[in-house]
Amino acid sequence: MAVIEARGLAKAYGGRRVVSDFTMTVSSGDIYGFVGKNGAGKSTVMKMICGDVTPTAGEVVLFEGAPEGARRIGVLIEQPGLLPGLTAYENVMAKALALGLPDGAARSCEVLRLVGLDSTGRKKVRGFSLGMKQRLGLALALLGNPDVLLLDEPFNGLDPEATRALRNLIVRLNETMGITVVVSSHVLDQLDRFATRYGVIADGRMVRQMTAEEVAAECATSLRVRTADAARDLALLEEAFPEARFTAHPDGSLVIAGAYEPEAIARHLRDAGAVVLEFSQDARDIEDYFVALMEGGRYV
Amino acid sequence: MFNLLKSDLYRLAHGKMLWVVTACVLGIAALTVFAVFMVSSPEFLYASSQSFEMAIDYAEDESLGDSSGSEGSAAYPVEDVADAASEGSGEGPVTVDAGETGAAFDDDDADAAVAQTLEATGKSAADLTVADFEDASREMRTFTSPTDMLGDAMLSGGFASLLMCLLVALLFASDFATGFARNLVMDRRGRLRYYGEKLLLAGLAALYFVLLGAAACTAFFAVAGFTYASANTVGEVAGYLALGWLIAWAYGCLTAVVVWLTRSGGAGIAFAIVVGTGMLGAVLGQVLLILGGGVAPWAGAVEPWLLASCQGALSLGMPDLMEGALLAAPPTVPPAARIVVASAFWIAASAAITLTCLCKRDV
Repeated sequence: MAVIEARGLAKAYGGRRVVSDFTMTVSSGDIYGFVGKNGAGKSTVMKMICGDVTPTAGEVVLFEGAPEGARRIGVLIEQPGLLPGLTAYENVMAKALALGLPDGAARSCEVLRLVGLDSTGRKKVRGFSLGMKQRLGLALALLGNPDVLLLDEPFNGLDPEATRALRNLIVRLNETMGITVVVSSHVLDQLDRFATRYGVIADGRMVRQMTAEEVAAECATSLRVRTADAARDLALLEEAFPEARFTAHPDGSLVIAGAYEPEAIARHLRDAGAVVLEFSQDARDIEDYFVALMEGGRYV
Repeated sequence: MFNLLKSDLYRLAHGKMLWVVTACVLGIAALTVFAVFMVSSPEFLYASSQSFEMAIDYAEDESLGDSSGSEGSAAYPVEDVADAASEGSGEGPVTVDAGETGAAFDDDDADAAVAQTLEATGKSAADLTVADFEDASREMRTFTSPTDMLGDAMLSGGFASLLMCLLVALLFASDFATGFARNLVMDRRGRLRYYGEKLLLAGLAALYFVLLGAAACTAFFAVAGFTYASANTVGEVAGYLALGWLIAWAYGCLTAVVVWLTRSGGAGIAFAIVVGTGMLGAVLGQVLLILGGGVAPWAGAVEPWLLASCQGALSLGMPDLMEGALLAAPPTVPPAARIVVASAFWIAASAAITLTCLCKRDV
């Protein structure tokens, strides 16, 4: 089931388009890593999904058109929206009352326990560390028993320990409570550890959506081949291995990715009488891979 | 919508803002009562009479100077000074009727009381003692009616609406400054609920401050020993407070719209100070009156309908607010109706701007 479906979304501010013809599908149970450079349009897209921002064009369909879909989404976009003069419990309780939760007090205690802020007592939020604020923001997002969590750059400013705790919490929420999570980030090595599906945005457009398995396959070892006649050999290999993807580099080398067998490539080159100058395997860094995608999809 | 209202009331009850502004209301009410109490004390009146005496001496000296050849000096005879001072108080005992004099709590009333005492005792200012002012003091501490007191002490001066507007500006701006608004469902329908609830909250805040200010002033004046020459009926007091509440609510709604349009607490605070106190309205009113007297006669007819003019009209108290004869224009509409119409207009205009413009605006 598609819990979020964005179709042809566009948003312009003062005539400047920040999101154009954006398409996105998030399925139930995904941990969707939403990847893009700063200013690529991630936050704007997330705000359009939760209704904070009205699209200039296109539409967002939540839960396949179920009524009051926005109420089933928990949101933590940019900075957590906290009331600094109140305690953690009072912040959560204020939102519980706003949502009209019948068991607001109990639910508030429950989400605070879930994020590990149940023992902050009378301490005002203005005295919280950044990590505590992020966790309180997550508690607020979780309060209404959401089916989907939208988390925008949740790891920003967190120390490694807090980052790990938050990451584990997201995974736990997904695995034990079945919450679909959309996490936007430009810190790729964080997403890499728990995302089950990815979407890459560049210049306000969705460049590509793929599963974690597809990313793993693409980032698996690639083959670098340099021959005496690169153009002729590229044509030969493309014809013989249509499932593989070939990229010609200025230094004359070919990088082969996708579905291929190194032995078969070597055999084919030998049978074709190619003069092989280099034949090596590269492991592609996931960061390089996403950076290439974020640059607009070249080199992929 | 009522869930949002409950949430906001919870935030207010658990935060500092409401209590700080409440303390300000109580503090200002106490200061007002203290100031009036001091101005109306026999000791203050006696001290005023002595400065009166000095003024008379000065006038006499100037007169002597004139008679010795200096022309053009405008010294007044002693009798004229006393007459001028007593003019505002009218015949009979001195009563603090701010609805008519517009100056219940200032030195003018003290001067009038001094002049009255001079006339009543037949003594010169130099011969007066503190005991001579006991009657004048007692009479100054007698308000015409409870609604006159409320109008002069609190409602017509704009202090209740100022504090209420400040609270509205700070509270409503904080939702966007802290990002708390993003925690709420803010799609189109959610925004409609959000803004609608906030306009209702402004009404509740206005009610709270009007009732709090009224209760505080009534209690503090009672403790200070002030009395009333005549009583208002419960209906008159309730109606009067309702009129004060409507005006405060209208100011609150306008402040809210300014905060939402600018997304700035500073703009809201500036608006509260300049407009919520009636300052801008008073200036605009004067301009309209000047225009009305010359180039644009219609402008003079508009002036009584300004929110600031309506606020000022609260000093009339009950039952005068219900009487059309007191109106400058149009004579068939009593001030109370003018207040209702003007307040309702601005509340409705605020709601219309909110529903048409703000509900479409991104959070």
